[in-house]
Amino acid sequence: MRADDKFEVGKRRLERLWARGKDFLGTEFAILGGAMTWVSDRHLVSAISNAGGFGVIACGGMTPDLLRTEIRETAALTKKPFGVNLITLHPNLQELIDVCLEEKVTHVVLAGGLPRGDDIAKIKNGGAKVICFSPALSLAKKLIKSGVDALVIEGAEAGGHIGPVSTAVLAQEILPHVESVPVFIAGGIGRGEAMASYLQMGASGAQLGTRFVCATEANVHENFKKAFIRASARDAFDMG
Amino acid sequence: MVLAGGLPRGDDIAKIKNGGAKVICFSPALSLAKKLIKSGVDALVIEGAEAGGHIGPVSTAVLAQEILPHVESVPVFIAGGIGRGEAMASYLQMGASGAQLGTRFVCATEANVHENFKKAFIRASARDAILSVQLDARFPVIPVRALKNDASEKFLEFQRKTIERFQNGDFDQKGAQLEIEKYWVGALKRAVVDGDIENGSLMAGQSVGMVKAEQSTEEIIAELANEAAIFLEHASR
Repeated sequence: MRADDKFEVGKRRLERLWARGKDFLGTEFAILGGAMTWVSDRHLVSAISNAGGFGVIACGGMTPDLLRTEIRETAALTKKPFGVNLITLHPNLQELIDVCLEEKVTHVVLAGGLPRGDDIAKIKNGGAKVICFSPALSLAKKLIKSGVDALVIEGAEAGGHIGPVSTAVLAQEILPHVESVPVFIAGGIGRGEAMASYLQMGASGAQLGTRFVCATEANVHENFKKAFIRASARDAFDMG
Repeated sequence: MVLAGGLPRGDDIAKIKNGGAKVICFSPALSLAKKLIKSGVDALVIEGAEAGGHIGPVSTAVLAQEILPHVESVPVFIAGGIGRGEAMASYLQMGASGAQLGTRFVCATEANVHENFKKAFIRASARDAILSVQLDARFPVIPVRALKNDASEKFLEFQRKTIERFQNGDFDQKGAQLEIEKYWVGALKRAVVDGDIENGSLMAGQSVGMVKAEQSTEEIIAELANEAAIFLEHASR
């Protein structure tokens, strides 16, 4: 086979492996942007979506009014699908969910602690899909029973708030046992080979955060970008 | 011969090779891998932070992405957090030539290990295999992954008391460091051989959650190879 033909074979295999993830997100690539507070704003989110991925706004500590503005400004910059990440510990969580539903956000990611079944139901009844994080197989099963539409398993290599177990270990523990919803894998993914290997292990797509911080479109201070470009893997340590 | 613990000297590598044996070394970074290859090693092991015992800070999958695409001249074995054949096979696809497993073999029927130690492994989940905690930057603690137990809880208190005694002048800095290092001396034997799983050290990797029962070694290896073969068959479809 010529190199070009081999690449076509690989591309077709990739299409098959992440078809479920693409369908779920409505995108060209089953790649979610990790929601990073202050980083994942309208600029990076729309850039990821415009590039064929799925950008996710990090609501973080935003007020409901600020979130509404961010959603509208993002929608003004892209015609492609994007989502919103809400922290379940936010004191105004109910209003934030209302804003997402009123603004016709298609996918809501619930992060930070186990989401309540009522909140999951409210989002689904409002017409949006719910994505939740699952740091263990037992929780994955619980969340599926609560009606989540997709899961993200995020290993300890991820940036920001993390669990104790690595991505590859979670993949081995969870992927063989979850069939009913698409699972996106996150944490420590920097190259396509690793992403593809998790797809082969049963993931439907991947979520990347760190890899997008130095995107041209990311509205991030150049010092922050330079620190990322300088850093090696061992510099990203756990603060406990 | 596998040389572990710190960068091996070129002279030692040469001595082993001249004596007719092959040399395998651990490489926790691409720059070191290149250095070791120049020194003449015959193969490398890259071992990620999921492994049990003395470990580095970077995960297996991240090391695989950083190192495997850039090493061609020697076979590379991958280690840390491997409990199932699918994961092993996926690293092979990424360029590894084989895998190293430790934790997965502890509960082999043939392993001459106290039954309490084996039971602790069978009970544990991945999140129980935690890193040793360092209390004070002045007194570094070597990162070791082990199952949490009384000994690991008390280690924190022991560090606190030793640092207090350093501040009271009972120890100089070196003395206090030595005192902290002495805490774990003999602890691995206490757990593995004597079966004292609360006061000993239960060194284990995160794949411990995938150890579900005592199995023969032959069965463990066959299971891994079988899972890998099914995985690769699916991949080729």
